[in-house]
Amino acid sequence: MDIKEEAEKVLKELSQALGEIDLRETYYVVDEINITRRDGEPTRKEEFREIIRKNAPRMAENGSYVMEVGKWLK
Amino acid sequence: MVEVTALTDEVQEKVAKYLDRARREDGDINALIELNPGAEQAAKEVEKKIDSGKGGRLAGYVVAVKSNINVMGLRATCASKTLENYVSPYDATVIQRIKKEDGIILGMTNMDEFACGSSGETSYFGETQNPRAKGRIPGGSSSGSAVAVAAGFCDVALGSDTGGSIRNPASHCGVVGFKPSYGRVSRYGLIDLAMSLEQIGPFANNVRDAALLLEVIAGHDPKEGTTIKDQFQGYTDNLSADLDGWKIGFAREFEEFTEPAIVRVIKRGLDRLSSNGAEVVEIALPNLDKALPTYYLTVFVEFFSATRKYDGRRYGYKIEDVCGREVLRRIMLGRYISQKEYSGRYYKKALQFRSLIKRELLHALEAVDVIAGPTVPKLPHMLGEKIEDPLVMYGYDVLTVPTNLAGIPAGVVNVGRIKGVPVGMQIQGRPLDEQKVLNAMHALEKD
Repeated sequence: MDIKEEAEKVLKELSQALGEIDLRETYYVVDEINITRRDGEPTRKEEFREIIRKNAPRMAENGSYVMEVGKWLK
Repeated sequence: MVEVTALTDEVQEKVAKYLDRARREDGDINALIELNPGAEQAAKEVEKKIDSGKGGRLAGYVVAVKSNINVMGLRATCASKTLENYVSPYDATVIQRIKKEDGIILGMTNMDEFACGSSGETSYFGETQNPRAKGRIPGGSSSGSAVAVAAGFCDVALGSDTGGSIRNPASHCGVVGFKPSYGRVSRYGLIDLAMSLEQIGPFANNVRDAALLLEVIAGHDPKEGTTIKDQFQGYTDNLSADLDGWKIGFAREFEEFTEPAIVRVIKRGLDRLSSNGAEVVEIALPNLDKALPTYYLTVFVEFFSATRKYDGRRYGYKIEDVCGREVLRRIMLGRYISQKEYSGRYYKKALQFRSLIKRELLHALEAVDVIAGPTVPKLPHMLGEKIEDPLVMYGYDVLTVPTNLAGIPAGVVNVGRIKGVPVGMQIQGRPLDEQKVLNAMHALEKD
């Protein structure tokens, strides 16, 4: 079965299994949310820049990060 | 097999034995994605601290980590091609706390891709074998973490649990697994599947080690807005198998979903709880059948949202271009539901049912100390057995997802075997009452 058809079947069946309900939605995550945080003192790890560089998808020869090449530039 | 025990060996010697065993045996088992090249050096430093009397609470413990938790310098791949080369630039809060207490990181464990699965079969790095039930799935999604403990590659491991991803493989592999209350453990540095449901938790060979790892990683984190400022006592200090005067709830609905042979093993476990002083009482969870659709409709939407950052610009590959079938299916479903959500037809309805299920579980827990029952409704299937219908696969989660929907703690401990296949009992407790869950698990283990 095609994955899209499969997904539609899953959604239909789960939705049917749920049925109908008439209930007020409530906030469920936590009662007490800590919305602020201490900034603390900034620190710098020597290897951080190198690790981030390794994770970049592509680097240009001049050392710039290549994030995306516009498809219109072909 | 080489005997390795938590604190009797010299730390360096022990780490060397674990690494050696993992290198020799993991080729067949496939529990590990990457070993930590700094493990031996870390062991040397920890041993020095122990010798000078300054070792932390985890000094001498070797810890394996699920590949969706950031450990600086190691890859956090989520077992996906999308992140196959992603090296963590920082430590998750749980890792900082483990290192502070002198735990030694062994390496990163295999898992279902982006935690989308309950079998350990959907990893880009290949399926994981179950060492305690040869030829069968280990369960998932924290397959590699459960197996690393079961196979004797480490003392303890970290997993994450969104709908049973710690408890399901713990049951199938015959080890201890624990999902804390939502907000008990910081998710800072965890690559989420569904942020409103997920918690990091421990695997171990016994309840005491699981309790120890939990008390190290638990607690408020200013970097993580959902962690709760709640004082908790040391779980290991208060561990007790005395259940005198306790009431243990068992829902009749559990039997409707579960294979009779598993129910028989679970009832023998209930007898063991009774012999420790508890009274087993029947409770009702009439909306248990709504938990699975509620859970999955919620997960699809949250997962779709969480994956939008994998657009190929920041982390290598665009997820839709390289991911497996189950991940793609969930992204498609999440996108579709999000587009249609103006009508409130799916996600809003799921949130309403979530409120109902939470209320029902909390109401049941008012009358009892903990709820005990099966973890997974059927035995793990054979590796390679094709389950084509995703809804059949989702059925593995029917007994574990209510815990996540309600945000309550739950743990699993082995209570028996069927034809050699381990069966775990699940204990669920009130929000933030991890201690009672651990004590009931301890009683089962002690008996």
